[in-house]
Amino acid sequence: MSEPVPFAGVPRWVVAVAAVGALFVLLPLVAMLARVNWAEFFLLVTSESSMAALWLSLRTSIAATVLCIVFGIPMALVLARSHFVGQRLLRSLVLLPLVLPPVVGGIALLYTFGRRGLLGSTLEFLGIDIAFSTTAVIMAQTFVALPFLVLSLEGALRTVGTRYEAIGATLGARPTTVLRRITVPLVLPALISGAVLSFARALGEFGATLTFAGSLQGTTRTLPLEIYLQREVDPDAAVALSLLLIVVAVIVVGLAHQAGGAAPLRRSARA
Amino acid sequence: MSVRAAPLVGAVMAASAAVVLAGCASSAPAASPAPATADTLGGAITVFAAASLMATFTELAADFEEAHPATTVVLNFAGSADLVTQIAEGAPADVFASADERNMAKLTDAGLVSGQPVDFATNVLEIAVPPGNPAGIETFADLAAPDVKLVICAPEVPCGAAVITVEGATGVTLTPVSEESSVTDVLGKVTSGEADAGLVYVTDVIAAGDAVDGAPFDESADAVNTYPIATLQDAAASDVAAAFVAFITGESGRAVLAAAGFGEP
Amino acid sequence: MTLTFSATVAERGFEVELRIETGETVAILGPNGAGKSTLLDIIAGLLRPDAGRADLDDTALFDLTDGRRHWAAPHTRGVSTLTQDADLFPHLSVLENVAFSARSKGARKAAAHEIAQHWLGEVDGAQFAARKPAELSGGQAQRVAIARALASDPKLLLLDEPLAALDVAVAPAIRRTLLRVLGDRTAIIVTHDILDALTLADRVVVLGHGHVIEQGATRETLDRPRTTFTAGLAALNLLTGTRTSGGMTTDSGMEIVSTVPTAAPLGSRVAATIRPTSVRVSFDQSTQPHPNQVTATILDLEPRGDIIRVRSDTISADLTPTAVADAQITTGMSVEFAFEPDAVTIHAADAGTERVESRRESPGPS
Repeated sequence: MSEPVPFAGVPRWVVAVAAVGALFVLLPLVAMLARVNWAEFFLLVTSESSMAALWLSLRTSIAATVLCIVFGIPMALVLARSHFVGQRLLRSLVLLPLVLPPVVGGIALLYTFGRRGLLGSTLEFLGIDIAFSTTAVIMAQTFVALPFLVLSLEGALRTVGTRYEAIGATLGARPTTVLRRITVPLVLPALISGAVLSFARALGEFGATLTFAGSLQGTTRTLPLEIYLQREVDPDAAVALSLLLIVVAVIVVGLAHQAGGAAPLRRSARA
Repeated sequence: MSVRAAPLVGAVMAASAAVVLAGCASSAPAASPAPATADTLGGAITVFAAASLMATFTELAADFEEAHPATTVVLNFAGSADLVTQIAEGAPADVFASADERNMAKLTDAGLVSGQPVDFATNVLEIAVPPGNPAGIETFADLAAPDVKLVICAPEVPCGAAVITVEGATGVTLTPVSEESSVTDVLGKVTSGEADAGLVYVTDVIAAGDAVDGAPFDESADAVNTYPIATLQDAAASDVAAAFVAFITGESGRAVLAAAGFGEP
Repeated sequence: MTLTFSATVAERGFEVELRIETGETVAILGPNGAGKSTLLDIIAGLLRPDAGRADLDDTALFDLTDGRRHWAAPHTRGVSTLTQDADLFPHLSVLENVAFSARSKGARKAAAHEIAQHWLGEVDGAQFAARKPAELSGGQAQRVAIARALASDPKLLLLDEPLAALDVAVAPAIRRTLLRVLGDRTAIIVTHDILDALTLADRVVVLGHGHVIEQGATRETLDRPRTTFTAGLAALNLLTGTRTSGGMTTDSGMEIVSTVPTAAPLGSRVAATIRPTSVRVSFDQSTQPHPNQVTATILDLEPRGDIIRVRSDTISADLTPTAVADAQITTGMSVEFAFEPDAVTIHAADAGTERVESRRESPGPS
């Protein structure tokens, strides 16, 4: 016997409006599928430039996601659990890349790390050359993807609260041990879904990469940049690659929902 | 796609392409024809022009409107390939000015051009360097030096194709650090000081003013980009469109284009 | 492990000093808001007082006197806490929960699990070692929490209302477990239930409004409270006065007759305790004051399990709900509280005994 559906009270017109919204998002996908040159699809997608772009995109997005995790966890912890003057302001600023147009983000990165940028002479002195390198791509992707992870994690940290950490401390665990054995495992679903969202954002990043890193096959020309270029000569290739990117993104977002939807950890049930 | 939907779809695509390429864009509804009297031309036309023509065509359009007060010229600037895509998808355009013959050919082959395209300008490449020429670039061959950060257009775009041609003609193989999709992006890397040198059009160097220094090179003559202009099949105010094309290819057009650095067609 | 403690938290009106000897279990009694949780949090290192000092054996837990700012982090204090809600780590199994402390301090997995198994056995919890906390009932979870706290080998164990969230049917078993494991430990148990204190504690400390009201050996303090506050917690009525031949005369001039023997000399200061269950309520409106009879206005009808405590400003009576309903007793009525001479226990009052005055209520229209 299947479980009876509980009363939800959703008005019928709401469902209709939702359907329109969903169509708005789905129809362009259908339109793209209709335009794909299926006969040549495989060839287009496996060409040298396409494979180089895909491989570069995957490498850099994964690296960017790792950086987001490494820096995002401490940031989320500080924002969720510390109290200091100006915390609200810091929080708003840290989430700025979310609303900034990516091209603007790229320009900002250029003004910071470029040859003539804020840190330009310091970097040159240290022999570090960022412009036109894969490093620049990873930096641009990290810049735009970091807020996703911080936001997702901060919310979870606030919800979970600190009582388990307090108990862990009274049981003799050092703060780092508490972080490793209690805090992170408790917010693991949010961490995973945040990381996957960051990956998806990094994968689709275009404007900041273009402005900050340039475009060279195998070094800086990620899949979105390759699509942008193919538009000039071969619309079929552009559409085929776009479909490839969509497929990868759908798989990634699907994973995010799987992980993030894990049942919230419950305390002991019945008294 | 129904006839009614085409202009709408075209308008949406025009808007999105313009945003992506950071060019000015304005799209207008189809022209409302007015009877052409003997000495006064009236009506509105939409002109799709390559991005490198922005400054010159804006000036020329204003001049044209002054000469024919009953007319309005609406301009849409973007990369030539983007404009071709928009027109093919049904965007309302009366005149198309392309940055190379290859893109114009796409429209001619598709039967979207009325009559024959006319060449109205040429453009050649020039080396652009940051003010003061920090890397000391003098000749085309200097660009191939290993420690020079050179930025060029990707081969898929007109200015990139020109670079390939020059490479072939000179026998010099370049190793750029970036191959951009638009000349604007190449110029941007030079003006910001990130690149030691970039290969752009003569007209871009002039337009950039003090932001870059130019270094012309002889071999540029090996790769000349010819700019054709044509009226389109679906043009509503075809007489105004034809008049505009004549204006561009005529004396006043040539003068403005020459001042900006364009060569004779 | 002797604990000496003194701290103030101005914002909460908290100012407490106490001392606990090795092996003692001390119950902290008091109503909500008295400062019980504040006390535990400060000892555990989770709350910082404005000033004060505490030492556990020879280690200073904190020292904020005279401008010093020594504050030992919670994980270094050797003080473990047991909370009302067990709070087992939801992502770890029962065994891993109990083994948590040992593993956090560096023990290898096998050794830590051995320790965990031992303590789970002590609390009769070995059979659910492999389960996750979400699969346990309240009582089972509390057992595991006890094992987890003990497995950390604490110098001092703090229990914060450990039985408050449990079913009435389950609590007694857990109380017995606690009795067994707390035997020779130094522990502080915070509770508002005197049964916990009577069962588990050697001494009680009564907290009210952030201050120590009185303290002493458990039975002594709860049978012979020196303040009405404590008397209320212990569910006793308290009257103070002077010893007479028949019993005593209260400070407000009432005559009390008692047939319970007492050693207090005539004329000395004494205190009388009467259990609310021994007090009857009636509407006898005779104008003559009788001994063992108090006229008072009902302030409150307090449900307590299956009886109702009828409270006035002087004296309380425990009645069955049926009795209250039949007599149609309501708040604000003026009634007679009466009790038998054999229900009055008189004992000597010492210097610390509060002086209980009550207003004389004259019968009249209410």
